[in-house]
Amino acid sequence: MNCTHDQEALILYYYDELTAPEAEVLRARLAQCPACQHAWQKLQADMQVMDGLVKPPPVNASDLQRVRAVPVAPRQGPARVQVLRWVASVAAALLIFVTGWYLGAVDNDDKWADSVRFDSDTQLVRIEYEDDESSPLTGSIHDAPMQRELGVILASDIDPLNRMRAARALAHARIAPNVRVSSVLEGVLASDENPVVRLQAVRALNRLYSDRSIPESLRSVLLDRVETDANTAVRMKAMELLVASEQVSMDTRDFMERVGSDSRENPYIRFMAHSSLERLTGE
Amino acid sequence: MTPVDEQLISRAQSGDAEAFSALLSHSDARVVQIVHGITGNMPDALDVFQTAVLKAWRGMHAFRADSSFDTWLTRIAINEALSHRKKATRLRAVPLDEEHIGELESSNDAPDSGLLREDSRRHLEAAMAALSDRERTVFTLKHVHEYKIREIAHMLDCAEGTVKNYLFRAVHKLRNALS
Ligand SMILES: [Zn+2]
Repeated sequence: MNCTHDQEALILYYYDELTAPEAEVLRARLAQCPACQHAWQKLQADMQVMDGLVKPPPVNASDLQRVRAVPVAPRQGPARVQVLRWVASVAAALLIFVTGWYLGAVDNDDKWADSVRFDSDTQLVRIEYEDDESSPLTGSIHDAPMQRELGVILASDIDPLNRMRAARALAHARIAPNVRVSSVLEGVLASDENPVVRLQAVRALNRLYSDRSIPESLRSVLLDRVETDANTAVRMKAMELLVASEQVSMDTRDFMERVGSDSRENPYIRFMAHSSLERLTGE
Repeated sequence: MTPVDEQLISRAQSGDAEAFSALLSHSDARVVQIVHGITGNMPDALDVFQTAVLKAWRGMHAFRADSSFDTWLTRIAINEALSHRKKATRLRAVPLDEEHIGELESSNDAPDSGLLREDSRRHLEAAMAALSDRERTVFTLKHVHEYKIREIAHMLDCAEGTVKNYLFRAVHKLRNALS
């Protein structure tokens, strides 16, 4: 018999990747060719040694838990004090909801932003994507599709620089308040892990709601941020918006009284609390 | 695909994060191990996997039932790991492979018993690290995780013949390291 001593077929045979007829041919060859018989035994022995040495690394269960929770709670806030913690979870849930809504609405399969740029003079946004096939997206920040795309970046981009730029674009744009933009910013403010992104988000919200009344959900998030955010600038901006919205409500008033009389509190925040109380009570 | 999987997939596609997490829990340990085979260390593997999970979540609506969720997620994770490696190699003066081999050689405090085995292990690990990313990926998928060549071709988005070639080369190099 004319034997080719085909080594590759042996490997495929070992891995059970030959078709039934191919395997039949190979077995006939092994039965007749001592060289192939020997090569087969050597291959099996080597593979056995490899089995013992090539082991997949153990994976820590808590690491998996953390990653698994990523879409459930995209970014956990730094929650210093656990007051009103439910607010953050409600806002996080809202963020998921809104993200899901965006995912359904936006027709891009696997695009991932590489950079986000905004020109405040022209109000144009330009988004470049990581993969070379997706062409850059340019459009006015006043257009709904662009606002949606910025929302997707804010809610799910893993690069904080992109999230920050998206928030900053919204903070510098002169756009009318709308639930689409507002709810994403609210979610970001409540749960983004990066303080600069939260700061840009609260700035954008300040701009969006300048001298207008704010939604109840946003008011809860702002109260929570003033009380628990690790970043003082975020707390001040949240306070500014709370005060500027001038909504008279009992728990806002209690809150302002508590903050205003807390001697450990940041002086600027205390000052705002006092002046807000003065206006609320008409004194 | 089981009816439960189908149900989870359609729920995840309509934005149910809990369903998505449930889907993940079937595959994640294995996918992390596969990614580890490419990145060479666990912290990077977890980072890469986390990015892949976000991409999968974000692209869930694009998932088609012509492959299993497991294959699809693995494919996203492998792409992510390969591009991570490309970036890492570009950023570092010393390629990861050499660092890895250096690490292996410096940890030369094996006990007397099983010294031979320890020696083979070090040779084999060095040979694994010296494989190309694709060779190592294919070998891990086939030898350790026992995927079919057809599935691996789908994950790597290449022809089955190409997968076979990577596999032959990897097995050949690793066997050389043993002898
Ligand atoms: Zn032969």
